[in-house]
Amino acid sequence: MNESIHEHHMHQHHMSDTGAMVMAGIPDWLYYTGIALILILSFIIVEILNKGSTTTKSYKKFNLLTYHFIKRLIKTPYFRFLFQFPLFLIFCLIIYAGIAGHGIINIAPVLTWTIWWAGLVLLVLFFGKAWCYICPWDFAATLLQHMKPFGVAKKPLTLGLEWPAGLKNIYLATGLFIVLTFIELGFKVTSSPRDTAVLAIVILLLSLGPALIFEKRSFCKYGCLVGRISGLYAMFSPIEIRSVNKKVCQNCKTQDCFNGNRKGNPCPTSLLMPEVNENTYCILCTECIKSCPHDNVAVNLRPFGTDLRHFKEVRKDEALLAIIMLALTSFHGITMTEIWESSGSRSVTGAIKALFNTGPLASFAIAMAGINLAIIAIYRLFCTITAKFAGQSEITGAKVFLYYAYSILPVALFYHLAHNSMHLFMEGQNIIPLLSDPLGEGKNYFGTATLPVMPLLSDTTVWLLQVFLIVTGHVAGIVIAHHISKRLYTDTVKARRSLIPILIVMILSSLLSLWIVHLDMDMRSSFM
Amino acid sequence: MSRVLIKYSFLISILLMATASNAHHIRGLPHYAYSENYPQVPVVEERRIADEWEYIFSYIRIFQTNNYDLAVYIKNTKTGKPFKGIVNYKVFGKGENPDIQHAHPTKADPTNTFRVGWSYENDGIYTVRIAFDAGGKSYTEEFKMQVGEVGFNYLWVILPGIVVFTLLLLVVIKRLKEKR
Repeated sequence: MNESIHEHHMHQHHMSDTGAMVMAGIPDWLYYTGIALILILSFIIVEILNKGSTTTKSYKKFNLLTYHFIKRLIKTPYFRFLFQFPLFLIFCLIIYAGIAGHGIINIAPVLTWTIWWAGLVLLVLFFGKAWCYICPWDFAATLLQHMKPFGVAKKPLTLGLEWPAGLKNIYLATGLFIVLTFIELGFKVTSSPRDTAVLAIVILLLSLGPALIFEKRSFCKYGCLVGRISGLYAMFSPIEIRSVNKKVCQNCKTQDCFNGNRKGNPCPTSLLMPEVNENTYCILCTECIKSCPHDNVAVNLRPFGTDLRHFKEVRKDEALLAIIMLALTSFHGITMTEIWESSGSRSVTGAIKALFNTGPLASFAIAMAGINLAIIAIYRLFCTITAKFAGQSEITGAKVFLYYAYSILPVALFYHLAHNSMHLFMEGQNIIPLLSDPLGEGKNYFGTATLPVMPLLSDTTVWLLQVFLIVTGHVAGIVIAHHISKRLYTDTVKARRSLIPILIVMILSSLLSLWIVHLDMDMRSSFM
Repeated sequence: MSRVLIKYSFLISILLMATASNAHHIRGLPHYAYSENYPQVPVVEERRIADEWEYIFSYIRIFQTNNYDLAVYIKNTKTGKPFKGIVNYKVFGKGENPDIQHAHPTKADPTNTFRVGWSYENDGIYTVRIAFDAGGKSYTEEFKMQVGEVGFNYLWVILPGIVVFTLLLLVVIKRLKEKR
């Protein structure tokens, strides 16, 4: 017990049956307005797209490296270090505070789950793979392998084994994402500093271990759940690293972007610049910008959703992750509402407990599997209907599943944003008192420990933002689905027919999202 | 005469100012607020507004024991008056079912605070659930409290450390073999 006084101030909320503090869901009038908007906009957008859109392979872009000071900064060897090192220190603080700090009043869960985890999706929306650029785990691995914090390493410390062929996909990352969600929600680690520290250590081990065993950053490319989720979401983001002129790359003999040289390290995810068509596997490390002898690498600003309209090939593992992300984010939202866990058998877990006579964790696992599989199965069913309805025999339900999964991504991304905006803007302020007392020792380093803090945004603003985001994701999904329909079907009529079942799936997904934000929702950090 | 009056008025005003500002310093450390620089009994306090009620929950460890005194003050935010009925307390640890716990009813003391005290066998994080009825409605609120020290299993640090160290060793051995 600490020999001091801790005071904590809270804002308006009420209590759920599960004991967590609850933020009220969007009011009825906004909920019904959202439903009306989704239904009306669906038909208007489809009508507009059918009348006058053309699909082109080019898109508008602006190379930020045309500004010489930006180019100079990015090429400076220690520029990335300036971002990574402070993040690394914060990461160390999370581990230290989680291990040594107070069991309740502690900065570790708030920094991890309320600020970072909730803010990550927002970062991806605007800055793509920016997290990978500043990633503290990558910094730790680099420090260990290169024995220096930045610059080119001639021979990094690694066994240099090739990543197993059977794992050259993102199923491992998908599996880790499912496991993390299960641990996060099933064991309620978001309010536990000790459990948060353990997870941070495990993530650090996952970064250091494979870096010492396998060549380059194979784990980043195939196994990192944060990298792969942000990689898929980053297809929507308005920033990319690409060749300025692909012909220059084709004539390049040295391929320094891939191999590295004295100015830049080899591409950590083994990408060859002219073959980079999507953001997914680029970790934005900017080594290719440093190493390219022809100054032929650009950091482009581009329209949102570009990769989703222009992706080169579909991949089964990516398509599955896109649908799992939709399912898991919706599931995540449901678990924070009263219908998930309240007293009696009216709740989801209550009904499962009564039905199977299982304990809390087993009931949670059954419900998690059930809800996620149900969402995936419904999407698969609609894909079969789409294939039949469109009437082109060589395009099967499985193929429809792969292609249209990319159009589901914005729906998942924007619901994820809507959900996280509640955590970020209604709970993010809890970091202010903890900055002065990160370990809960009764300290007051900056005089903010007892400062009354209010949410960053009012609840009405957050509600409006949530509905705006869900509707935006829905509209973006339709636009991308329309592009995909034209790629999938050469016949315009068949393309239009294929859109109808997918449009129903999207409407159902968006209505589900609206319904979830309409329900009262538990806060992430229950005490603070 | 008027000059003497001004002189004395000035002196008196200075004395008065000094008296006012030093009043709290006479018998020890200055303490202008409850939570400032003053030797207090260790206490964790949480303020919360839920529905139309404002709660101030605090818990105090009785010196060098595992006995903790819990206190909650409940005020109606609409009327500004403190709640004076019966408040039921339940305290339960991780994994314990609150539904089978016996509720402990308490009445308000003269300061309108509801107090209970218990001894805890095990250190850890506990949930304090308070429940009361007012105006025909039932209210429930939960707070968390830490009893003693919440330990950390250092195997979570040692085992990953051993794994990384072993891998590093293998890489160095490989590097040395290559040099030969």
